[in-house]
Amino acid sequence: MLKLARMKTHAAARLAGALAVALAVAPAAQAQQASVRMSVTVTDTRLSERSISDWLMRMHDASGHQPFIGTFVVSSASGLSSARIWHACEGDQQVERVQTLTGTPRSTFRRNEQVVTFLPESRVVYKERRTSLGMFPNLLSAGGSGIPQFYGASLLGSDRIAGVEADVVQLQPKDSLRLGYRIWTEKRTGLVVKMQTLDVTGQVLEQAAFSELQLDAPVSAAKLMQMMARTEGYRVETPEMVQTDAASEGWLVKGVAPGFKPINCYRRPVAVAPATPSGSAGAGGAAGTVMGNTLQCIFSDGLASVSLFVEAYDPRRHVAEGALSLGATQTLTRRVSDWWVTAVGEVPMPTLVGFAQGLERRK
Amino acid sequence: MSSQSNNTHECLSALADGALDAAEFGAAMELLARDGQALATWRSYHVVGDVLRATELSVQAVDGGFAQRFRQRLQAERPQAAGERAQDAVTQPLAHPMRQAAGHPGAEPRPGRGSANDPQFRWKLVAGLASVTALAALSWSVLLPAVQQPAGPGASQLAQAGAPAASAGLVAVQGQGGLTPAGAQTVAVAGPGRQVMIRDPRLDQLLAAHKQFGGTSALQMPAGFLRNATFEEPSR
Repeated sequence: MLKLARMKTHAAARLAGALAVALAVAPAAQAQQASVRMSVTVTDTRLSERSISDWLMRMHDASGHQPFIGTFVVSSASGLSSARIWHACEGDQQVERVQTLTGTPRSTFRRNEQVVTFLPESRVVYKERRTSLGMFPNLLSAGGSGIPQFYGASLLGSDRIAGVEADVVQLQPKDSLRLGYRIWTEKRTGLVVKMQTLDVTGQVLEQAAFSELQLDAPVSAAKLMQMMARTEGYRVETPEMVQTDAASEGWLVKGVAPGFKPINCYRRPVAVAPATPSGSAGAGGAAGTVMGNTLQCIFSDGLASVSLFVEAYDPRRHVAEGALSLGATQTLTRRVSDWWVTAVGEVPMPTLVGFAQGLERRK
Repeated sequence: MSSQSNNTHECLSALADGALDAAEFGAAMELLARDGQALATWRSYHVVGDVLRATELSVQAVDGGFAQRFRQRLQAERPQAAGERAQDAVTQPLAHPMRQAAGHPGAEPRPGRGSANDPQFRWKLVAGLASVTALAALSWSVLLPAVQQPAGPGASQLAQAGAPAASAGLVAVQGQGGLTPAGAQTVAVAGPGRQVMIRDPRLDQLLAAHKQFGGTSALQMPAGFLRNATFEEPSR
């Protein structure tokens, strides 16, 4: 018996030795959050203010001139989602198709600011006009963007993502009211191929990246637009939104963090009752849903945005105040006398708390 | 004669059990010295014992027959030395079969029956230490994610099951400082998966509405828009 025990000990000892070495290394590797493989020596080059703006504009423009096909993956603590992307450019038109590969099947088509979302399972199509999509360049050219004032940018080095060579730039917030970003842009065109959102301690909250990418792919804009128009068999819904502003709605927003500017306010119908299996409610008001009016006020500092939703307080539905973290997005709910406030944003929780607490009813 | 062989067997088995006192021990030695049959019996006792304890040794029993015959032939040539070696074998009753085999001339080494540094106690120490280290490293790597979460008040729970699996190597940690003063409760974040368990469907709608308007961000094109289109919950 002793001989057997000794034999097993030796085999186990060899294994244990190897295991101990491997496991000693593994926690260290795990502890090294946001590890970036650099193919060249890391150069921490600060980018000047002017070059930050130039570089951001380049990023923004890249998708206007570069057709591609790829698979996009978003991962965070709440899970992993991926989608297949077709992107075509024709003149000054950009046409895009995003087909989700995880979760509910969904096909989102975008033609400049026109967004059409197909939900095959419930046979519903949502048509929207997202005017905010084109706003950034205007913001930047008008000098309204305070990005260099609140973020410092530094070039970290080079890396290889989805088969393309990319530059890595880190946008470090200058205060603790914002999240940081690490952005990989393809060297030749400036197309963003990977993006990490970092919290105040530098840990990665969320990562969105191409897992495979084919640049200059033969994508036909005309074909995508055809697919976009094919709504036979679908119920078309066009959520109506009325543009308004906080003051006229009777609200004062005093907790706006520095650098954040009010962008827009909308009064929108949002389904109040949970969505029925046959499809969620739209402006038409499907059977069994009650439409409520919600005010949405949007603030942005150029990189991050915060939405404040205000609706009438309903004790049956608005049960618990609380905070929730979903990847990079934080949410917070709070009751303000007769109103229920929900704050949503890609900012650290204290910033969101400031926004929510600073909302006051005008006298 | 049969009773004598029985006696022999009893004597040898008592010897193997270490149950002989001084006088009987001397008698057993003499027995082994003069009786080749007794010696063969003694060896077979040990082979049987080893095979019973460790089944992988049973394979070498085949070789054992050859080795024994070989040894007997050699012993026949050098009978006076046999007694001494038998004593060696006996004084270490729990000796490793390697040792026993080595005690007889011409025994071949039996691979796989134990390592050469077996008798030295310090290697057993090293083996034990390595096992303990492996165990410690295992438990450390399991506990490390839990330890790393900041101990902020009401830190929300995250499903860590998703984190190691994430190929991107994310360690997403959410701490919450400064909750609303109205004694807010924190709602736990549900784990990875298509359906987020605890979330309010109404909240999903608001999230979708929020993502719709993230277009003012410089990062919206294309990464931000793609991220929202990939991510958003369409429960509008």
